[in-house]
Amino acid sequence: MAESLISSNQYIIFTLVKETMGIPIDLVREVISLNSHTLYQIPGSPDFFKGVINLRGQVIPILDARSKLNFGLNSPPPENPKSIIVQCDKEHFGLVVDDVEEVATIEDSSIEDAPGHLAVTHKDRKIGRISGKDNDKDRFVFLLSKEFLFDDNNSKGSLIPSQFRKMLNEVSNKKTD
Amino acid sequence: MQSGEEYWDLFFDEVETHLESLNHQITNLESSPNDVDIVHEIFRIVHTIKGMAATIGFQSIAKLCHKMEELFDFYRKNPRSVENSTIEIEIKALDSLYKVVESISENGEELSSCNKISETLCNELIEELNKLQVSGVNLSVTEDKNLNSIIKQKPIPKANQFKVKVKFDEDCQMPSVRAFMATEVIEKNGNLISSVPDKDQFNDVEIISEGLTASILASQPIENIKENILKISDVIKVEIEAIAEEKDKQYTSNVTRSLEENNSLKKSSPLEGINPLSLDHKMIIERLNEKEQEELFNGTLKAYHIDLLLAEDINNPEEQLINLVNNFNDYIGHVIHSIPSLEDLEVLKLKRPPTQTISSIINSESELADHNEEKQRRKMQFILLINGTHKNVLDFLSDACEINKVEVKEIKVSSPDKKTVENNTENLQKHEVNEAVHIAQPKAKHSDIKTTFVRVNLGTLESLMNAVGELVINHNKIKLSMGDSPSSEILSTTQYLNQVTTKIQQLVMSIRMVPVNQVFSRFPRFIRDISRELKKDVHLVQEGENTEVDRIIVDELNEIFIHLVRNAIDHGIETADEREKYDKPKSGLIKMQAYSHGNNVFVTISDDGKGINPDELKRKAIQKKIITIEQAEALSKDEILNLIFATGLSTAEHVSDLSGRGVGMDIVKSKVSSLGGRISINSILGEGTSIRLSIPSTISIIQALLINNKSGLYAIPLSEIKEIVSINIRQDLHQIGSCSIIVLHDQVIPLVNLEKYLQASSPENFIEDLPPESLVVVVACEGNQYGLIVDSLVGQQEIVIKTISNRANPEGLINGATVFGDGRVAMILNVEKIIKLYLNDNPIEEIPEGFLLEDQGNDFDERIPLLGK
Repeated sequence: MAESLISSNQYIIFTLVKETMGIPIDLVREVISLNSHTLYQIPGSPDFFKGVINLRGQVIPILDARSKLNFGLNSPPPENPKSIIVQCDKEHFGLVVDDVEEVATIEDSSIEDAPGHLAVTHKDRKIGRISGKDNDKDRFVFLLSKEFLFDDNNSKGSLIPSQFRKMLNEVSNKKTD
Repeated sequence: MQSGEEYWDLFFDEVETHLESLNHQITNLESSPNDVDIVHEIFRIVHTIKGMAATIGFQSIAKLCHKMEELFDFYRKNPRSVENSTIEIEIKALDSLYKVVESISENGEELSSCNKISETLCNELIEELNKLQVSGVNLSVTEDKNLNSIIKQKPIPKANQFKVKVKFDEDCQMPSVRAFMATEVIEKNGNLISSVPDKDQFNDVEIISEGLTASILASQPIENIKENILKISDVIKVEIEAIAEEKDKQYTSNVTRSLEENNSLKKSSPLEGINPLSLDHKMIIERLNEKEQEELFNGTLKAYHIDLLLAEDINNPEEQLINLVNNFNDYIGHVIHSIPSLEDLEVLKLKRPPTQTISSIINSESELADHNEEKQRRKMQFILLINGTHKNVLDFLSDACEINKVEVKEIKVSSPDKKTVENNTENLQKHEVNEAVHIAQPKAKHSDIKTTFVRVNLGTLESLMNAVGELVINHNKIKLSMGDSPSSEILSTTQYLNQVTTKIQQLVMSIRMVPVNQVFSRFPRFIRDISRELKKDVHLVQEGENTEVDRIIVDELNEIFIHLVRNAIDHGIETADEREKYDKPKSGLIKMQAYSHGNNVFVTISDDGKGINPDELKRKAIQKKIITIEQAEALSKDEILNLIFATGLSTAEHVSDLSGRGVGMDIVKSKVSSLGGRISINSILGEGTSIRLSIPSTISIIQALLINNKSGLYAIPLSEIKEIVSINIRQDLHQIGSCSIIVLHDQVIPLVNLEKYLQASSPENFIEDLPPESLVVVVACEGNQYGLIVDSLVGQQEIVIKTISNRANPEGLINGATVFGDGRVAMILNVEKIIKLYLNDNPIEEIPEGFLLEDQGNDFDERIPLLGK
C-alpha cells in the first residue's frame, strides 16, 4: 500500500539476452558492476543464487535473473554484467542483468497485464509502454514486480524467450491498431 | 481514525515497559504491603500511563488508569498497609490493561469491548475505594495530621501563602537553633511548605547564617507570625511576601515534594545523617601535629576531601593513582589519608595485569561483566593538606591524570576549642562546612541509581554496527595501501583511527546488551499466578539479574524460562502436605540464577521439589521406543536424565504420571541450541532438579575457527568444536559399514565429508582423495562427536555475524556470513544442520550399537550443583 503511494512511475530499464525489461525504481537501491566484486558461494542455496558479494561491508546475495526467470540460459554470458541491488522485506539482493539502459517513466495508464493465454500466466506480469521520443517508436517492456522476483511459490514460473517475444509483439500490435 | 496515530508505535512501546514495571511493583507490594515508596512508584507509573493514553485518546485506558490511580492515591494519603483485596483488584485491573492495550494494537482501534472491560473494572475499583474510605477515615485522621491537612486543602488558597525571609544577626552564636525556632513558630501558626535551606541543612553554620527563606501556609494572620519570629533572639529582620499567582503551580508541586521529603526523612535512620566529612575531620585531628592544626585553623593550611574517579580508558588505574598521590606529596602538599591506601594500591597493581581496554573488541562482553570491579579500580578518596586555593587542586588534578569525575570538598575548621574538638565528635559537625565543587557530573544521588534509558530501534543499532564494520574494513584498506614505509604521521594517525573504531565497536556492542532482569522481572508475578493456579506454595529467589545479554537473545529467553519454571512448579514442587511429610519447608523454592563467564551467560533454574525418577524415565523412553532395553541398561544416570530432551519422549497424556517434566523439553532444547547455547540437567530424586543453560551473551559476535576448503573459506563457531586432530589416513581410519570413523579417547568418531555438503559436485568417495595426513575438526552435536575433514586451518578469530536471507539459504546450512578486514567473505557453518544431513545419509542403524550412547564428555556437562548442596 505504502509503496504505491510513493510510487514515482519510474522504472529501471535493463536488458536480459536482448530483451528489455523494467523494474520499479522504488525497489532499487543502486546499480553496481558485478565484475569488480568477488562472488562467494552459499552452500545449499537454490541454483539461481550465484553467491554473495561484499558490498561495502554488507553481505548481499546475488540472484541471477536469467536462472530465476529461466530465460536465455544457453545464451553466452554478458561480458560486463551489472547487478541491480533491490530491496525486498528489508533484505537486499543483487539481480544480475546484462546491462542497464535508462530510467524511464511509465504511466499507470500505459501498463497492462501480460496476455493471459501465453505461457505461464502470472498476475504480476505486466507489460509497459515507453513512449518513443521524437520519431522513435513506442517500446514495450516486460515489467518485473517484487512478487514476481521473490514470491517463492512461483519460483518455477519461467519465461520462454520465443513466447516472450510473441507476447510483447501481441501487445504492441494491439496498441498500434 | 484517531488523532495522534503517528505516535501509536511509540505509545505501545512505552506502555509495555510501564506495564512491566507496574507488574513488578505490584508484585513487590504484595510481599511488602507497608512500603510507601512502592505505593508512590505505582502511583507514578499509573499516572504516566494515564497521561500517555489520554494524550493519544485511548479513553478506556485513561479511565481505567484513573481509577487505579485513585485507589493508590488513597494509600498515598493514608499511609497504611495495603489490603490484599486492593492488590487482587489492582492485579486484575493490570491484566485488563494488558488486554486492552493488546486489543488496541491488534485491531488498530479502540473497540467497544475495551470500554466494557474498562468499565467493569472501574466499578470494582470504585467499590474497593469506597470500602477503604469507610474503614480508613479514622486512620487518616490519626495517622498524620499535618500531611493530610495540607493535601486535603489542595488547591491551597493563594491568599494564605507567603514567603517569609528571616535574617539573623551576624554575630549570632547558634543560627541553626534560631532557624529551628523560627520554623517552629511557623508550624504553630500554619504550615511550612518548604524552606531554603532545608531543615536538614540547618546544621551547616555557614549556610544557615545567610538566613532562612520559608514558604508557608498561614492559618493565623501573617502579622502575628512575623511578630512571633521577631521575638526570637538574634533575628534582626523578617520580610513577608505574598506568593504571586503564577508561582502557584510551583508551590503546589513543592508541597508534594516537601511531603515526600518529609516522608523519606522520617524513615532514614539517625546514622545516615552523619556527614562523612566528620570522619575526615577526626582523621585530620588525629594525624596532624599541633603546629599543623594551628595552621589549619588560621587558614594558612587547607584541607580537602577529594573523591576521584579516573577516566575510563586508563590502562593501569592503580599506577595512575599511585603517581597522583606521590605527585601531591612531592609538589603541592600532603595526602594524609586515602582509600585505597598506597600500600593497597601497590599490591593491587602487582596482582592485576594491565587492562586491555583499547586492544580488543573482542573482550567487550567479559569487560562488561567486570565493569563494576573495573570502576572500583578507578576510584579513590583522599584527604589532602595544602597551602593554596581550590583552583590549584583542580588544576593539578586535571594535569596529573585523566579524570572522569572529581569532587573536591574543603574541610573547614574554625578556631579551635580543643576540648570540644578532641572529646566531642558531635560538635565537630557544627564546625564543618562543605563546599562542593563539581567538575564533570554532580555526584550520583539516590535517584541516579535508576538508569535512564534512551529508546533505540534495534535496526538503527544494526545499521550503526554495519557502518562501524565498514569503517574497520576501510581502515584496513588504508593500511594496505600505505606501502612499506609510510610516514610516521600517517602511521600514528591510522593507529589512532584503529583505536577509535575499536572503541566505537565496543560501545555499539555494549548498547545492544541489556540486563537479563528484563526477563527475570516478569517472573515474580508469573510464579505468583502459577502457584495459585496449581495451589502450591512457592517462593522465588533470583540472583544475578544484572548479567547482560544481547537484546535479541533476551526476547528468546523469556519463552524458555517460562517453560522451565512452569515445569518446575508443575512437576517438581510437591504440594504443601507432601512437603511436610518429607520434612521439607512448606514453601517450595524456585531459584533463577544468572552469571556471565567469558562469552557465555549461564542461567540455572532449580527447584527443591521431588526430582526426577530415572527408572521411571527409562521405562518411558523404552516404551516410547526411543531406546532399546539393552541400550537402556548401559546408560549412566546422567545419560538417563538427558533422555528428557529426546524428541517424542512424552506426549500430553503421559506427562502427569511421569515424575518429571517431559513436556516440550525437546522444544526448549532446540530453542536453546538455535541460540547457539546448551542445556543440561541434574536431578536428585527427592531433593530437586536443576537445569542449566549456557547461552552466548551475544549472537552478533562469536569466536570462530576459520578453515579453508576447496570450495572456499568457512568459519566454524568455536563453541561447537571439541578439538582438532591430525590423523594418519592409513593407520587411524576405520571403516564400519559405509561410515569412516576414527577412534579418539576411546570414542568412536564418524568422519563427515564436509565438502560434500558445501558443494554439490563433491566426489562421493572422499577418503581416497585425502592426503596421508589430514586435519579433522571434532565437533559435538546432540551429545555425540563427529569429525569434519578440512583442508587447512586459517586461525581462530572473533567474527561479526551478518545474517543471510533465508531465501538464499533455505536449508540453513549456514548461520550467516562474516566479512574480514581485507574484504573477503566467509560462510559460518551450521554444524548441527550438517550433522543432521550426514545422519540422514548414514541412518543410525548402520552406526555400531552403543556409539549413540557414548558419554557426552563435553566440558559443559560438569555436575551442576543442586539447591542447598
